[in-house]
Amino acid sequence: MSNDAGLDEGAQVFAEEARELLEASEITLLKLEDAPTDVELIDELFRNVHTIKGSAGLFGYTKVVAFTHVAESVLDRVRDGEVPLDNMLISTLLGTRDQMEVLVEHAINQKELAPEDVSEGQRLVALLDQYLEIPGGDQLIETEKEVNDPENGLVVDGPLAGNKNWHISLRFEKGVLRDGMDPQSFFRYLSSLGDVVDIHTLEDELPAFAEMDCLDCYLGFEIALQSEASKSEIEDVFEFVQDECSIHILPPKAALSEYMALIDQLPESNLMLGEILVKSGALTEKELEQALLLQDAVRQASNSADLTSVAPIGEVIVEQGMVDKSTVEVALEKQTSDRQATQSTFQSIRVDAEKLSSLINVVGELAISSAHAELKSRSSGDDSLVEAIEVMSRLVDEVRDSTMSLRMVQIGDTFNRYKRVVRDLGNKTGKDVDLVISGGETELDKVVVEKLGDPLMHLIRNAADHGVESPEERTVAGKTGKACIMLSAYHDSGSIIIEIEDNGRGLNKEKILEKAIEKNLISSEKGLPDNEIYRLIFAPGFSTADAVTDISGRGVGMDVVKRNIDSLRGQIDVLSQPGAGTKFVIRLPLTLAIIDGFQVLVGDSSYVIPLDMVDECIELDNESANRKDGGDYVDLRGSVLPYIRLGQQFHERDRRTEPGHRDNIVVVKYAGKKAGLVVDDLLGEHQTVIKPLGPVFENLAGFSGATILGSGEVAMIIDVASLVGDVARLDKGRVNKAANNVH
Amino acid sequence: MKIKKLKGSNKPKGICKLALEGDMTIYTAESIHADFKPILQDYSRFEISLAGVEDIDTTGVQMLLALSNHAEAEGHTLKMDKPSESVQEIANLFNISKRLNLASV
Repeated sequence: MSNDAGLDEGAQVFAEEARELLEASEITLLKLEDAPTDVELIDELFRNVHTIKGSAGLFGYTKVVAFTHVAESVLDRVRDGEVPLDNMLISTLLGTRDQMEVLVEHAINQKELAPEDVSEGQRLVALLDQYLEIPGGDQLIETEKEVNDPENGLVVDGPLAGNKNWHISLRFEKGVLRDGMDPQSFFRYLSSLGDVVDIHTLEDELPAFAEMDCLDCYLGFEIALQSEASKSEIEDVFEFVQDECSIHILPPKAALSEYMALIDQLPESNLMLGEILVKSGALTEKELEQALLLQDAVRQASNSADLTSVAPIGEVIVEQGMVDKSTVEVALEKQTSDRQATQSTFQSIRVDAEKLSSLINVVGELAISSAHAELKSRSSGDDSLVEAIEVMSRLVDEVRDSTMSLRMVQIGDTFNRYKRVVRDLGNKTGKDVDLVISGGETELDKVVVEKLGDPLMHLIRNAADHGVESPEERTVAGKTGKACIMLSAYHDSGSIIIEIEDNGRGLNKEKILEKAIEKNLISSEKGLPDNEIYRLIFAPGFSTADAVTDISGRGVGMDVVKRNIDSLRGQIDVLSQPGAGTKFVIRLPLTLAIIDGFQVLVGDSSYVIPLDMVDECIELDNESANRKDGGDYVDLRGSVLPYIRLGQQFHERDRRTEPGHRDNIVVVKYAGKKAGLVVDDLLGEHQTVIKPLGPVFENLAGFSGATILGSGEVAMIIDVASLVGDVARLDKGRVNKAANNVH
Repeated sequence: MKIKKLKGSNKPKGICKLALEGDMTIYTAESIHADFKPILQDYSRFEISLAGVEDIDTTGVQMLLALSNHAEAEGHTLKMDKPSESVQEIANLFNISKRLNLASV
């Protein structure tokens, strides 16, 4: 049996949905803090919570359901305007949201709750309960009102059944168990809505033991439910199974005609169903008789009608006014609520990340071969072919761009998460901090965004905890009481820049130096420029916080931040102004998959340099190449440009002795540093799909990957960042010397 | 899932005492079904102890219902007793305790 996979998948979907909804709820709550009366936001919040409860119920996560139910009840009252949404309540609801997250995670992983989680839950329920006790409309009276409320379409014509319970008929399709759903979970959930007065299990479809397929579902159920829930709430219980189950729900005191229609629609014999309905208390014997009489009357009516146009029984019932308008309106209401649900939850399609990467891979190769075809067509001299290929490659480019954009996500969602962090930290530390976000619409690779979450979180916590001062300190320093953390993202020449800037006290240079010396990171403070001093905070085990708070200051972190950024081929820098604030600048590559490459020839092999790092190309003249001091640098318009010979670096054939040969320097720039790479030939721009190097070559210095050229040849992609670093380090001494020579 | 034949089970067409141990869920249903088929042919009177049933879902319930139907149709007697907690729970949920003649403990 492979059903465990099916079940896991269901739980997986629940997990993803719940996490998304919880995230959305947090954002909504934070918005509500500024606009506590926004009805749409309140509705949205209610819907999110309601959906989580609903799906959790389906999977039998009773703890989630029980807890969420309290929150939902409170929100329901907020929605009805009975409870005002003040800051206290928002804080409680934020806590509630966190607790839901804890419960959901524990439920998914089937773990027991830690005692502190349990007590936190109890604390929150106690807080929430207070809001339920605030006098408002009595629940019971309200339901009563609803039943007789003409606007709810529940006023019915014709004789009514005296039954005060909901009646639910379920006939499951055979495949429902195989699909990982079990009726019992629906019943358990149903019992959270009210009191299941009676269940009658129908086993008429059950074959003899030897013939049964024990994975098919053969059972049907007639259920009497005493509940104050609305019809749509009851319907929601069966939302997941509605395609695989015929469901009939009759409200309390439904018209006899509805029962009659129900009896008609169900597969079992009318008499038997009648008996079940009587047994379950849905109908009295008398009511049943009446209903059956009505049915006969309808039959006769249709028999006596023109034989050529025997109307289907349903129509006759409608004509005779026997199906009351509640049925129609309930159906309409259900449609609307379904539509709303669809709008709010399914705005995107989930795609396996694997599938996406393979698509991107193929499209990348398509772009390469299209470039190759274009080249060939040009050299063929066939104009119509050239034209056709040009059209094609334009389309291929479009396909490539839109495929690439599939991987791109806006960073705004990630940014928004930090609002809550800053808010909570502010409350905890008694600081008044604002998080200002800009450039949230900046898109970058999903992988990058995901890996960026933790480092950013750390930087923001640091900024809120250590960076900014308390309102009193700020007033003394002559600043506004409200501190501000700016989080911004923008594009800059093929990179994404993310900045975290606070207007707090700035980094304490003396303290950093003191600590660095104490930890043996440096021997003396002599000659270190400010930015190098600040960079010391990225060293492992470094922390200057006087007191270790539970927020930060344990000395782990900044080095991890740096490592994370490094692993994304990014760079992090820190700028600080004592008394004015600190700014972290993170520079990241736009995507990890395709780059515009500059193809060069070294020896007999092709290499690719990322084009956005190429600044210019110059010729290496003989004089600079054979410098008397042996230094590998040239004078680039008055400044020193160190270079390395890629031929030597990669041990390629030395072509310098060939007649007519000349060396070219590709000037590359990375993070403000320039360096020259000496190559034998410049081959031009070339679109490049980065193929990661296999595990064997993963740690090969100097290469960031490989690519396949149009000709089928493999070319290595040069890791400019690491080479520039190398050049800068190797040549530091020589460059200093050279600087003196140049000037 | 194990179906344990208890002492006092004598072939053929005699009394068969069984004890079900383990899970009666969608994961084990097929093997239980296969194990039961020959047993049903060999014996005519059954006493099944459900004390060892750990987890049971709708497939398990269906199986119990079908077993009871089978016995009834063949004129056999079938006694299910000592339902474990999980059996009692689902039997109450489906309201079939009486139907299955579950002698409660």
